[in-house]
Amino acid sequence: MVPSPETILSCLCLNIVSLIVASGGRSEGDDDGEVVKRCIEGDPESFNELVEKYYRKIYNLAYRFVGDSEEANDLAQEIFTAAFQNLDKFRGDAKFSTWLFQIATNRGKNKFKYLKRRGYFVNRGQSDTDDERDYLQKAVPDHSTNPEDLLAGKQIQKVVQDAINELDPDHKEIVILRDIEGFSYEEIAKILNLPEGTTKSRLHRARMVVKEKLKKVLS
Amino acid sequence: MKECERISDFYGELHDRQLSSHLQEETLEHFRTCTDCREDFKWYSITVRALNNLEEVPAPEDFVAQLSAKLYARPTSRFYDTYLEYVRNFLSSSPHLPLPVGAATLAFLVAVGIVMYNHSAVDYIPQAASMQAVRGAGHTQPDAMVAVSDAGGMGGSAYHLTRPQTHASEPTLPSSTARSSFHSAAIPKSLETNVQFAGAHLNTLADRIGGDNLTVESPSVDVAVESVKRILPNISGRLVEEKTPGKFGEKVIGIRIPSSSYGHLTTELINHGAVAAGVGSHASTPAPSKADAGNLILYIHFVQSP
Repeated sequence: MVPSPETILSCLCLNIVSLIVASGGRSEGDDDGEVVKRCIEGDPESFNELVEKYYRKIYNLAYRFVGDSEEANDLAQEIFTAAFQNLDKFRGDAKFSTWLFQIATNRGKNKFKYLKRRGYFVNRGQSDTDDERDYLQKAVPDHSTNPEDLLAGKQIQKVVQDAINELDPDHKEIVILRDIEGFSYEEIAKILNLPEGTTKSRLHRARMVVKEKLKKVLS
Repeated sequence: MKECERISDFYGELHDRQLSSHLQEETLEHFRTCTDCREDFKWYSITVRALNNLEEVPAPEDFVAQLSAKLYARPTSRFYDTYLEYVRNFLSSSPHLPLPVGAATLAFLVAVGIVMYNHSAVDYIPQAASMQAVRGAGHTQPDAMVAVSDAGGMGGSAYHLTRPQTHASEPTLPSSTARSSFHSAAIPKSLETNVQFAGAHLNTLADRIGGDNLTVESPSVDVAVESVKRILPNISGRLVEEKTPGKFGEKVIGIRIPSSSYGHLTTELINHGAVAAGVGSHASTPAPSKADAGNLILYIHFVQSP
């Protein structure tokens, strides 16, 4: 028996980590500017404060770009290293977090393209064959009887991550920034240097692609 | 259908509750009449919530420590990094390696070969050296030349210059290209003792190659040597070296003759009493030496016949 969308939706509501809570944890205050200033003025170890503050989100973003823990670790290290080495180029006309996530999305996109060129995702849920669909359906057991478990379980995480992996880099970065990292459209527009309208339309197209993938697997 | 496509463009704003009230009302009204769009929007909402609901993936516990080690490690020199990277790329990029290295190696080998060829001190000698003679008819080898004395021959310059029967139709000197193989094939090990002169200090070229490029057996070595000396002016040759090895009654002379005169020399030797077979003016001309172009240095070993 296939669960109705209403059932799934109601179950999802129980598991949602509020976007507001997430964005509340992201607020940075004025401290970043001070810390950055200290770093630039010759106290490089104060950079650790920034690392401590952002490394979880940066790592998570990196993981969503590449879908693998080791690659995500390398990518996140690379992002912070690039930020550290280019800190003197940070002009301060945007928030440090915006600047840091600009670096992160650029590096993430490049890393994703690099891995894709090398066929890294070929055997990692990138194919859209019948076999793959069968595999995904088998990987989500009993969802017809217990959709709550389905949506709370690890399997749905994999299905969604696989769907993200199939997005092209421009759509992927917006989904990650908006729906996973919880940035506002205004922040995303600054990070990606795009008009807000373009950001919204790209996000909509990306969600539609992911939706089709989920529909295919779950229904 | 076009209406459905237009409505689907509002999904995002409807989900985010950012749609204007007018458009929201219009969209909801469409949902009441279009089941497909209503289902589609519900899946859209599921998708967004599933994305929002993705768990945060924990970073490795030592992430900060790893990063600190990387950030605050002593910086290596930029030159060193660049150099290492260049070498790594050079060795790992297959198009870079074969062409320049292969070409350079080939050029180097050619240059070394040319230099060695031009500076080879014994380059012109092996042509003559290959004519190892074997003392005594019983030891005659292919391509070896033996002069055997003719006891009581004319003018005291009696000796025989013979050729092994198996190669009677061809002269003895090999071409320069076949030189090395000929040398190794034609000189039997047993002849090695021939080039040793007991008690002599081996330091000349003649000593090194052995004095028996051509061996002449004669009951009177001195007479035979004088005979050869007399022949030399007739063939534009000259005496280069004359020495007496340790063994009593033996003599070695080195002569320099035009390479084209080799046949004449052998003819003259025959005319002066040698009993020869297959050697004469028709003998081929040995290749002129490179170091002494057009000329041939030949060492003749005179030994007392038994």
